[in-house]
Amino acid sequence: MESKNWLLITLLASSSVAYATDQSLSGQAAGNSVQASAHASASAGHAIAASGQATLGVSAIPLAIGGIVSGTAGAVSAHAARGSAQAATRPIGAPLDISDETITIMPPDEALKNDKPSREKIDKGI
Amino acid sequence: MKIKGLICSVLLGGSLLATMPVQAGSFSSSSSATEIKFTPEQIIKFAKQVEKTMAAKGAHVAILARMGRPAAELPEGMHFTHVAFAVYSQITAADGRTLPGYAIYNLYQQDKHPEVSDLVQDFPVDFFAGVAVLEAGIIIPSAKLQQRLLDVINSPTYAALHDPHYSLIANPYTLGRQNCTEHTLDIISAAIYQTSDIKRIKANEIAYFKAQPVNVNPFKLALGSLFSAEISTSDQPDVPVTATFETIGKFLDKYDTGAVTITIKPDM
Repeated sequence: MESKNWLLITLLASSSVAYATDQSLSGQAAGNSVQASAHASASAGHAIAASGQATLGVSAIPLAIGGIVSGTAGAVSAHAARGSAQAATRPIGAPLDISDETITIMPPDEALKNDKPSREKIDKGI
Repeated sequence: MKIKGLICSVLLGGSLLATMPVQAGSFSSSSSATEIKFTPEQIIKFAKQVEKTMAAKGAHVAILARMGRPAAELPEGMHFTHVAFAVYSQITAADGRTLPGYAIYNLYQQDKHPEVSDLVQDFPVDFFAGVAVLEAGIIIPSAKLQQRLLDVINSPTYAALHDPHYSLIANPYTLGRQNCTEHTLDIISAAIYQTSDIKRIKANEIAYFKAQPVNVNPFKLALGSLFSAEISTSDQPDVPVTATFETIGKFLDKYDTGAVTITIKPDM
């Protein structure tokens, strides 16, 4: 088993030497991409939340178009579906209102403060 | 285990990922972002610029793309690394207020299991939080397709068309593996044909959608699939192909009269 692994290492090392020389830095980053960038993304998101410039959003209901109620809501609650109907808005193509506030998802430390589950509110369940 | 990890680092870092699209969630699409490249202020400003652009055009549903890696690190024909739906919504804040804005409907890899994905909703500032470049791709479908997309997103079909078995280079013509662009394409097809029948959806994608060939050395690809759970060739019977923001844009430009594709860079 060990010799097989060393054979692979030798094979890979010889086949990717050209990349290793000019992409060693990106290689190092990419090799750790999943874990490292997950942290980076979380950090970036947390930095935004911590900046005090963003409002925490706990749910979002698609707005119906021009008074037309969208199809039957899936995992979206009946309450959400009613919200969609009530929040009917302008026809497609007409300029839409956008809040000047920046809305972000709830960071883990904020979510931990809540006693009730909040994941279903922010994860796409439909 | 350490040796396997080393092999993955050499293989993925040195040869494969450097030449492959990274279409996953926030983590892998920002592999070069082991550091945060932009300040919260820059990200907030850009995300709001994107939102206001979509709103000014009256887009209730748009297809939104970001650059998780610099273009120079991506293969030919690929520019953006992650694609999702932006849906004009009534957002309820933690303090109870309701605000108009866009919610983003993503397919993201799981953090600890990159070969598995979830459907996750976030907001524009979260979407752009870890990008390598402040640039957004936006496809605004025709009014008719937007209405149908909203119907699908707001129905059980949206989740039913999600296959959690993730592959970075998922083949949009086959079943068994799926990435963010394939799920996006499947939702678009479901909306166009007003069906949740995946066989019908795939048949039409084979007939009308032109996927992007993945130009990676087959040897490296084989080794990549051997050592990285998030890369699979099990759904690639021939030359690997995958869906991209660009190919989805071309598809809608051809078949959805009135669809518009735009690119947004930060206001100076």
